[in-house]
Amino acid sequence: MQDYVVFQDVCKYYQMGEQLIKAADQVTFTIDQGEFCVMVGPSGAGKTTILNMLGGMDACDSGLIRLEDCVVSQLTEKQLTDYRRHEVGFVFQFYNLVQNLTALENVELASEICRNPLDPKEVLEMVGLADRMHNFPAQLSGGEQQRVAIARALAKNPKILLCDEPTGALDYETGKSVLKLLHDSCRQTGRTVIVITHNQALTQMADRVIHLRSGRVAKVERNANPLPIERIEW
Amino acid sequence: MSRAYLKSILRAVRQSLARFLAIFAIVALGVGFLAGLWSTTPDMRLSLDTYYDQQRMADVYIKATMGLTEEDIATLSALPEVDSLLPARVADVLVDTIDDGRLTTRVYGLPWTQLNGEQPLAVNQWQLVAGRLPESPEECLIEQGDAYLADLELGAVLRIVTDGENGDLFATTEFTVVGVVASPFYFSNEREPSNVGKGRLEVVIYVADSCYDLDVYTDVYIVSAAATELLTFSDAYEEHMEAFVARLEELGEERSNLRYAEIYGEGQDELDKARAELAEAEEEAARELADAWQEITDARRQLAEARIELDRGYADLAEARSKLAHEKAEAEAQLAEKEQELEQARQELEQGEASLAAALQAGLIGPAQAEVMRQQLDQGWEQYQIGVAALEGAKAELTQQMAEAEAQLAQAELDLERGEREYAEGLRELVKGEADYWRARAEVEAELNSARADIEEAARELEELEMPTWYVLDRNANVSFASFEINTEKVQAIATVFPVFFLLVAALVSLASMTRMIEEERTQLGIMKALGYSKGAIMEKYIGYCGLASLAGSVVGLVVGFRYIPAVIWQVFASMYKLPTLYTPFRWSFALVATGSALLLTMLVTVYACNRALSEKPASLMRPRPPQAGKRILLERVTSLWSRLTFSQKATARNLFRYKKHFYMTVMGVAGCAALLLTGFGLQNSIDVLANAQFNAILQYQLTIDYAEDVSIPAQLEDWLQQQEQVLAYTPAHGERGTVYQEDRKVYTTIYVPQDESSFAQFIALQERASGVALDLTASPVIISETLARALRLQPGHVLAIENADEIKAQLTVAAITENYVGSYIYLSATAYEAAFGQEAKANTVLAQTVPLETAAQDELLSALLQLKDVERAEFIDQAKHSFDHLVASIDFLVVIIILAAGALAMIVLYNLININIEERRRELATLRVLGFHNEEVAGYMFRETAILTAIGTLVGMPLGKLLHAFVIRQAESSDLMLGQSIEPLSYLWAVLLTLVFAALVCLVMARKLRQIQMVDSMKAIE
Ligand SMILES: Nc1ncnc2c1ncn2[C@@H]1O[C@H](COP(=O)(O)OP(=O)(O)OP(=O)(O)O)[C@@H](O)[C@H]1O
Ligand SMILES: [Mg+2]
Repeated sequence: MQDYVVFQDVCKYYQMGEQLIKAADQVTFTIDQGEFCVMVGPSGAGKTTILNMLGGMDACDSGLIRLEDCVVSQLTEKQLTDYRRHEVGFVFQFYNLVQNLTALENVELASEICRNPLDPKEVLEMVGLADRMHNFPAQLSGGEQQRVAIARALAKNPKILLCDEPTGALDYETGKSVLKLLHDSCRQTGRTVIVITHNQALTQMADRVIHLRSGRVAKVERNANPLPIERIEW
Repeated sequence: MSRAYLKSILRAVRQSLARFLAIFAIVALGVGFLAGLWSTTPDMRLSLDTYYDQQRMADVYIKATMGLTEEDIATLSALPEVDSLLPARVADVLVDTIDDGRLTTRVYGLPWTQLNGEQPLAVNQWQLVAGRLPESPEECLIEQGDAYLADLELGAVLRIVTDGENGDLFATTEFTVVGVVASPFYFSNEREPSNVGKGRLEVVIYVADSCYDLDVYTDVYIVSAAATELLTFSDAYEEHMEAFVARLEELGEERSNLRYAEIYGEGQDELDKARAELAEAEEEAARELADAWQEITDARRQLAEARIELDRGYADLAEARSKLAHEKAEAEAQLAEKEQELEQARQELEQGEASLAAALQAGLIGPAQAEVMRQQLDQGWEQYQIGVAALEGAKAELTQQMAEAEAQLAQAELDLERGEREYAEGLRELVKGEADYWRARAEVEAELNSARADIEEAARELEELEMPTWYVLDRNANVSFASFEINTEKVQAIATVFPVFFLLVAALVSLASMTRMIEEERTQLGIMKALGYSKGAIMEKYIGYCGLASLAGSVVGLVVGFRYIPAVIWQVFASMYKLPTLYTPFRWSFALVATGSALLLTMLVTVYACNRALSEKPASLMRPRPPQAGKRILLERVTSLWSRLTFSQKATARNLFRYKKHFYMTVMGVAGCAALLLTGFGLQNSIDVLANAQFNAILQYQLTIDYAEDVSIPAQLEDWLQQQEQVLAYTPAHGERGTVYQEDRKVYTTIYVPQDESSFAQFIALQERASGVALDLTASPVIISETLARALRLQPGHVLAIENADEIKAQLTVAAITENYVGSYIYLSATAYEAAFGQEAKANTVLAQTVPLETAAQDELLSALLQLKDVERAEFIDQAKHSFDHLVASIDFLVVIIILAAGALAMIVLYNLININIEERRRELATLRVLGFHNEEVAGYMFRETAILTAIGTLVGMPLGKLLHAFVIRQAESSDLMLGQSIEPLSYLWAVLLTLVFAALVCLVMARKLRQIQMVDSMKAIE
């Protein structure tokens, strides 16, 4: 299906005193359904801003954002909450798990509130944490925590998975396995996944690569034959 | 303090205004309460002292048993310790009024120029509340009415009952009220005992001292020279006064000796004079009696003489009478002889005629012879005629002579008769005179004897003359002063409990806040430590921050607390006193201690929190702190239940046990709030119970009527009571004042002895409070009111020492204790009374039940009652009830203040808790929002913890509140007042509800803050 995600002339400005910071400046791109999309660009390019706007965590100043048939840029506060609740899964750089809940409970936390969740235990098994599900986040390594975070995002059974530097705090191997997990989930369930990364090497595994620079889309690449993660080295 | 340092602190304040405000507010609350409550008693005492100084309240007053002479006064005023003094004549008397019956009245006789305002009063200056000052000695001023003193109207006329106690002391006995004054001597609504009438003062009036028929003063009121500068409740004052009183007592002895000599001398002089007078009188009496006797003797002699004369008169008369008769007989005999001679002559002449005629006829004789014979015959006839005429004359003369003599005799007889009458009169007079004499003699003798006896008595009395005494009394003897001192002491007792609690909560709030602050800045801490800053240097900022918050809070707390807390309590006191202006100075010592302790506490917790963080290695500090590991709690073992909980319930359950500081802070704060609220509402209950139970359930009569002591109700009153349709029932009883002594305590009480023990319970319910069991004087002959029992800690079986109004002392064994809230009573059976005091309890009061009446109808009934013979006083208990309305109102006011304080406490604590929680879990909350949780769900997650802590706090607060309530009640009670002991269920409900409302309010405010959490920011790296 064409144009699953649409950004059309999206702008987001921050007024810092005298200075106007253009975090997103006339951003226009599209992503198709089931694509594994990677967003790259230097620090401060506006990657997080764009992802947050797509995820309904932040509003744009102008332009159109659409996910499938939902015009995100026109949703009210309340509709945005529902949109986040049912349509989007987030994975953050710092995992953002609830410290006071076990791994399983953290997943349940998400699955409890949405329409057709996946079974939390199955999802945790899927991410390879079958025997750690009763541990608290503090008892898990960074990679394991990120897996829990991914499991939490997946368990909601969202239309789209948004990952902001999911491997940023992880070592090479762990990062790789986390990416593999995301990629697999994209391939297996046909779910659209967008991953922000600083790692240019990762562009090889993406169906679509969006290059950003200073709040603008510098270039959009399409990979006809993305490489599997195992084959990428950096 | 460098500028940079200050700037860094100010920046920190700006960055975390909520936290700063929380510390600021709780310190303000704590310090405000501490300083305010501490200063309340000193402020109230200072205000009273200022009032006393302004009104020149006497420091001491002297009551002299034999009076004070001008010389005594002069000696006193010459003392250097005496600033000014006011001699007065004071006595308690009964007074009749038109509208209010017979009232026990204290009459102050004051110097006229001070009474009429020409000169200011030297001591105990009053304030004129209404009317004007007297312009003539028939006018008087009256002390302002209150719960115990009657409110007489201007223009009311008071007539002293002159045949009552002290009634003979007065030269003027009728006064018109022209002005109402408030004197510092009578500023409390407390009953003043009196030894006249029913034993309680009902009116105080001020008149000119010339209205007294006395040439000495009874009292003198003194303002001491140095005491004005000292605070009247201070130890320095006490010491000063002790010395002064001792000095006066010493002087009193000296002056009393002189006064004794004077009175003795005067007595001796009078005695001598009386003796001389007696002697004189004796002499004069003897003389007069002798004179009188002489007169009687004379009269008797004269009478005897008169008798003799009279008798002689009778004899003379008889003699004269017989002589006259004799003379008469003689004269008549001579006359008869003459008559015979004449008859013979006539017969001879007749014969001669006949012989002539015969001779002529016979012619015996010739004409010549015949002629000669004729001539002879005619001559004979002529002689005869002359003889008859002479006889007739003699006869007439005799008759006349006889008549004359008779008349003389009759006259003599009349004279004699008069003489006899006069004699009889004289005799009667003599007899009377003699009787008079003897009577007079006896009288004089008796008179002289009594005079002799009087003199002897006077002489004996003089010998027995007691030494005069000066009673030197200081302010403690003044009922108003003593009551004020005790009540302010109670406030002090309460004042020490509350603030400690507030400070404790303040410490907890700062601990939680500062721990959180340091947590937030741990990286910074780590960097500084790594850079080689000393612990102290790093701490500086936090100590400065917390110190600034505490200091600012203290300043606001002090300013508000010093000013308003004493004012609130003062307002509550207004129901008991006619209060002067309140002074609330800024008290540096309290301010320093309160601020100091608040600062110290908050600093200590800051240092503690810093120390804990700084004990970590810099490296670990610089790393984001590993979030506190979630811990399994007991509840999880109940898998069936646990698995049913939603995630946020699970998180809440774990959080509750994880953050102990938050737990204690919140539970204490909320418990404090709930406890305060419960105390406040409980107080209201207690007062309501007092007003309702006392005036509806316990006292079931509406009207009391006092009459002159008698065994039965006066007939007129009895008739009236039976005829009045508005009177439903009545019972007579004996009532009098009693004084209970316990160690050095003295408690006034009222003794009631019902005439009819069985029907008495209809009028005053005698019952045990806890069990509600009715008491009966037959079974338990000595029942004391619970007020008295609590004040003196008496139990059934205990013995109390009592003195009745006639100053007869007795011991009573308490048989039972009856529920009672206002006033102190002892109910005795007639036999128990007689056994204790050795005299019969004569009825002098009627308790009556009436139909419900409006005030106007009550007044009408009262004035009708007072018209009746022997009725001295009548009163509806509504009047006593009204005086509690004010108390109820001021308690309502206090409750509002308590609610505000409680609300502030709960809100600050909860605000702080939620604030810290939000700060601490900002990322967690943002995560939830990112995950698509609705605002309500996020709020629910956040506030569930608050709700549970609030619930626990509220629960803990209930027993705490009950204890606090009991403590406050206990402090407020006196021998005349017991408050309701229990708290109504509704009050618990209100306390809980209000606490929840406060919590809900905070949550409502914080929900806004929750919504404003920026998801985007929170997702960024850990600070
Ligand atoms: N809340 C904000 N206020 C002001 N400026 C902001 C805010 N958020 C982002 N920016 C600015 O917008 C620009 C884009 O930021 P963004 O976080 O999207 O960059 P990024 O591409 O994600 O960079 P990085 O790879 O470092 O995460 C930056 O210049 C940033 O300074
Ligand atoms: Mg970014």
